[in-house]
Amino acid sequence: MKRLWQNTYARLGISFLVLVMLIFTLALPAIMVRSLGDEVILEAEAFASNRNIDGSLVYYNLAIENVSLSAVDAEIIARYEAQQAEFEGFGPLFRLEDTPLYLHLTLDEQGRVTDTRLSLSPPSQGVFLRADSHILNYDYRASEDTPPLIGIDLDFGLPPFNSSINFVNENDLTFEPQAVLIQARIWRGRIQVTDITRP
Amino acid sequence: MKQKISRKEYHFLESALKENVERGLIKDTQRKDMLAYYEPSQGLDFIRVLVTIGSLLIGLGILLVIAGNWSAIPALGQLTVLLFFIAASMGVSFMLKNSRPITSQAFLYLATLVYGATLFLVNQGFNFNIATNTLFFVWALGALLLASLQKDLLLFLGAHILALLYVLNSFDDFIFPQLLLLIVIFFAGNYYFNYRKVATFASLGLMTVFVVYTLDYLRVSPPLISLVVLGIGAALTHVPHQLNRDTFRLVGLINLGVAAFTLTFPDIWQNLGFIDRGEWFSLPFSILFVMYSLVLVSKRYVVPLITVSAFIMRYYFDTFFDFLPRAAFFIVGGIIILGLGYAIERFRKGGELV
Repeated sequence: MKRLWQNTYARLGISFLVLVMLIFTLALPAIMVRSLGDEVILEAEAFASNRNIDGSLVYYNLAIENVSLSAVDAEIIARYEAQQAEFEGFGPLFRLEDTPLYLHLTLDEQGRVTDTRLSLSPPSQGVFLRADSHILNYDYRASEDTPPLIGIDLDFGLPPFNSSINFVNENDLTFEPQAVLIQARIWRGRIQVTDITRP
Repeated sequence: MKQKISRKEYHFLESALKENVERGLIKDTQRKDMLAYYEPSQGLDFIRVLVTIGSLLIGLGILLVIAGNWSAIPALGQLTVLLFFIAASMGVSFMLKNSRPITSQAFLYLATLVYGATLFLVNQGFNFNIATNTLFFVWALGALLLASLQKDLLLFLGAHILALLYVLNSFDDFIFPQLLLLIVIFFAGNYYFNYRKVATFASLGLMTVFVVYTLDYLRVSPPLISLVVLGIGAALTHVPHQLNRDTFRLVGLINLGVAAFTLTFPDIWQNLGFIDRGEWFSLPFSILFVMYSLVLVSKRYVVPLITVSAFIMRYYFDTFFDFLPRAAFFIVGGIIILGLGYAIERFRKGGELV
């Protein structure tokens, strides 16, 4: 091995191969998702996509609007309300910067989401979706007849490259309230989105 | 091992010895023997700077072309183009190694740059969702490999910066296996580079950041982290050994200064549950540390003098910013800074310093 390393061309070749291998290690998680994962389908009631000025996609934005307040950890509500107090009059739209939120998902046998819960930490068991950027819409119209609901916009990065869906209007930032199906796979308890389609 | 001296010193020595040969004071073989103990260091020369900037510009241009047309290139084509540029840069670097060493180095830097950009573009283009910190880690590994190829010290130092970016982006993440790997590689690298002072400096600085990361991950209180760094600084400064003693002392003094500066703030002490009034600790600590620094200054160490200057400015700003009229505040502040600068400069010229 030492003699091989002393040969200039062998050293060059080995180094290049190692660099290529290092680049390919980036693909490992994705490959493992495909080989280990079970398919999951999330249903979103609203959907948005952000674009750069040149038209390239920045991220998809999934809004889940059917999480009841009882399924949200009290600490999250307390933080949002504290933030609301600071920006009184700004409206019921808040963002906890640099605070990842974890959407715990309970799935049925077909991989459909049957229950959701939002917390500040990942679940010890089960699958979850981590959102590094998010907006919470607090519904003030809640009364005894209509239980309080919150909408959570979760940004989860760039879409899968084979996705053909496009919800963009003329403006750069759009929000199209329509249903989409998010196809995802589970890997080590975390959900990775693999495709986004119309139902 | 040959002693590195500046080109100017080397040329002076060379001509002085030559003159002495001509005068008949020494023989030519003696001149060669004496000269064999020294070699000129590779300082920053114009050509080196020029070709390095050139390589960086080429790299940047390639990346902009690829990034701008990324979606138009088929998936396999994207990877092929990027790998081709890495291979080409490495190949040219190897080919020019003996005939054009400086240009060869520039192509090696280009290969490192294109490799790093490849990581980011592949991650983005193939939607791998790999975190940025991990990309810096993989980039650092590649840079270390390329540095070892041609024993390039500058690239080895660059790998330190990438590793630093990795750690700074990984606070709260579990990265101990990766850190262990980096520590082993950097120690081996120091051996490989014959314990060059600048490499030792960079590695020791990085190890300090590793320690801070570890303590932060273990949720150690900020004042305790500062105290640990203070302890490390004291150990690096005072523990006697034979390996690059000056460099260890320099890193130690910097650690001491930075850690002590953070401990001058009362708020940091109040993170310890049993302390209600931080100033009861920060003020005595500052006084004691200044006294300790003055002892070090008396041993002709310049870093403690800079630390003391920083302390003076910190207390000046803290105390007088609200009291003095703005104009007076800035004029007095300026005079103090000028005075400290003059003192440090005068002190620095006084002899050998650390």
